[in-house]
Amino acid sequence: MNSAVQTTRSNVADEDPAGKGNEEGSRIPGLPRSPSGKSMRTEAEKEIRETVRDFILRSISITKLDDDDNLFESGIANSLFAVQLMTFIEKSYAIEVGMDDLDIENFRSLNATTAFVLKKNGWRNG
Amino acid sequence: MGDLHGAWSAAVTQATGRNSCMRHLLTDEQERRHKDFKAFVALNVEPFAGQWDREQRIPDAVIALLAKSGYLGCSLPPQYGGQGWDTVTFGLLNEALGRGSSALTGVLTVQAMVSMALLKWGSNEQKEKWLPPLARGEMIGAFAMTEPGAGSDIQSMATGFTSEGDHFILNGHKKWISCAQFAAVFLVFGKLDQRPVACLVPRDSPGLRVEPIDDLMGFRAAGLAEVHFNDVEVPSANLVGKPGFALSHVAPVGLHHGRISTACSAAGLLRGCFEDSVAHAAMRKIGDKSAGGIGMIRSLIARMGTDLEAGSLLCHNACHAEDEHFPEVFEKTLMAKYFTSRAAVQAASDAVQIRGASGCHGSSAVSRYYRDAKIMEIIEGTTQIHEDILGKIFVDQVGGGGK
Repeated sequence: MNSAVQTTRSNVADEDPAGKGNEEGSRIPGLPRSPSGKSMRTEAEKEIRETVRDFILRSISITKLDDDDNLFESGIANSLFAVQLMTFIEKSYAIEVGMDDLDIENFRSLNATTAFVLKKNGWRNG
Repeated sequence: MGDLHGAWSAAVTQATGRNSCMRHLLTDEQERRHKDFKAFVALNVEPFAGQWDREQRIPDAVIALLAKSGYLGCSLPPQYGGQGWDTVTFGLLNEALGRGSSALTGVLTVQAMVSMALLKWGSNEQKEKWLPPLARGEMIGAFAMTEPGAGSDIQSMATGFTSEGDHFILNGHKKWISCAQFAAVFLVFGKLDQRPVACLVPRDSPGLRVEPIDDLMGFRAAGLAEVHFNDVEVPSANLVGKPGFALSHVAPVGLHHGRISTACSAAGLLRGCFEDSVAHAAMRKIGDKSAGGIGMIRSLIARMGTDLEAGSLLCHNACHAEDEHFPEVFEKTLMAKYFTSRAAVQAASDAVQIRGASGCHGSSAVSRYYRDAKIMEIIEGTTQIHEDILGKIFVDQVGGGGK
C-alpha cells in the first residue's frame, strides 16, 4: 500500500520539474498552477469537495449529501468506508494519511475532508 | 514404479500448465519469482507438510528458512529491511506456499497483518524499532484480536487497557490467535476508556501467558494459542495509531492484508486439489479405462479447473488494485477471499471424492487440504461476514439502501 502512494507521489514530482512540490496549489493533480491567492484556493476547494462528494454518493446508499452532514455519527458510513475514503483521497490528491492525521475532525464531513486535503497539500486556511 | 512416477509427473505438469491464465498478466520478473517460489515449496515444504500437520508444529528451521529467503518481510520497504516486492508478487508467494502448506502460509499471513498495519499507522519511532526485525524474520508478529466472546462481533471485545503515567496496564484474554505459540510480539486490540486501541505487546512481558491450542481440525501446525494478559505493563509508546481508531483504521488495514494472503493461499490449495485430481484421473484405471474417461469425474474436474482460473484472476485483480492503490481494492479483496476460500472447500471435497478411500487417509495431501480449506472460510472474516459486507456494497452502489 505504501509503495503505491510513493509511486503516485513520484509521478507528481515528475510533473513538477521546478521542484516547487509543496507550494500552494502546485501538488493537486488536475488543478491549474498559479500564484497563491484566495480565488485559486476557492477553486481548489470546490473541485475537491465535489470530487469527494461524488465518490461518497457512488459508494454509500444516500442520494444527497450536504457539506456539513456528519458522515459517521449519522450511521451512513461504516468502518470499511472509512478506509475506502482515506484511500480515495490518498490516490486522488497524492497525499498519505498517517498516524498524526487520525483525527475524526479531518473526516467528519465533506467540508472537514476538503479542508484536510487542502491542508495536506499546503494550502493555508483562507 | 519408474514409469508410474514418470506418468504421474507428466500429468501434474500438464495440470500445472492449466494455471497459465495468469501468464499474460505477469511481468517477466513476477513470473520468474513465481517459479522460484514453486521450486522452494517443492523442495522445502511439500515433502514435509504432512509431518508438520501430524506433529502440530512447524520446525524453527523452516521459519528461519522463510526469513533467510526474505519472504517474511517481502512487502516491507527496503528502508526497513524488507524486499519491497509488489503485492502481485506477495500474492504469488502466498499462492505457491498455499499449494504446499496452509499452516506455513499462515505465518506469512499474520506477519503481513502486523507489519502492514504498523507500516501504515505506526509512528516513525515505532517503525524504526519494530519493522526491521519483523522484515528480517528475526521476530514473528501475531494479530491478537479475537476473544472467546468476540469474533465477528469484535466491537464487544472485553480486553482493556488502563492508563497509568507513561504506561498502560493490560488485562484480558485472546483466543484462536495464529502463530501465538512462537510470536515474539502481539498487536493487541482492546479498549482504553471505552475507545478501541491497538498496542504492541512483547511476548516476554511479565503477566503475559500463552496457552497452546491443540487438536484443531485444520491449520494444525499454525501455532494457534490463547493469550492471557494479567496486569501486563505496556509502555504508552507502544500504542499504534490513536485511541478510537483501532477498529476503524488499524484493524482494517491488517485484516485487508490478511485477506489478500488468505485468498491467494486458498487459490494455491485449489491448485493442489486440481493437480492431484487430474493426475489421479489420468493414472487410475477403472475397468478398461482411466478415471478421467468417466463423465462424473470430468464434471468434478471441470468445476475445479474453472474455479482455479476464476480464483486466480480474482486474486490478481485484488493484488493489482492494491499496487495501484485503488479505493475499490477492499471490495476486490473481499471478493477474492470469499470466492477462493469457498472454491477451495468444494475442490478439496471433490478431490477426496475422486481419490476415494485413499483420499481419506492421512498419507494423502488432499485429506489435509480438506481440513485446511474449511479454516479459510472462517479466518479474516467468515464467509457470511463477507456476504454481508459485499452484499451491502453492491446494493449501496446502486442506491438501493441496506442500512
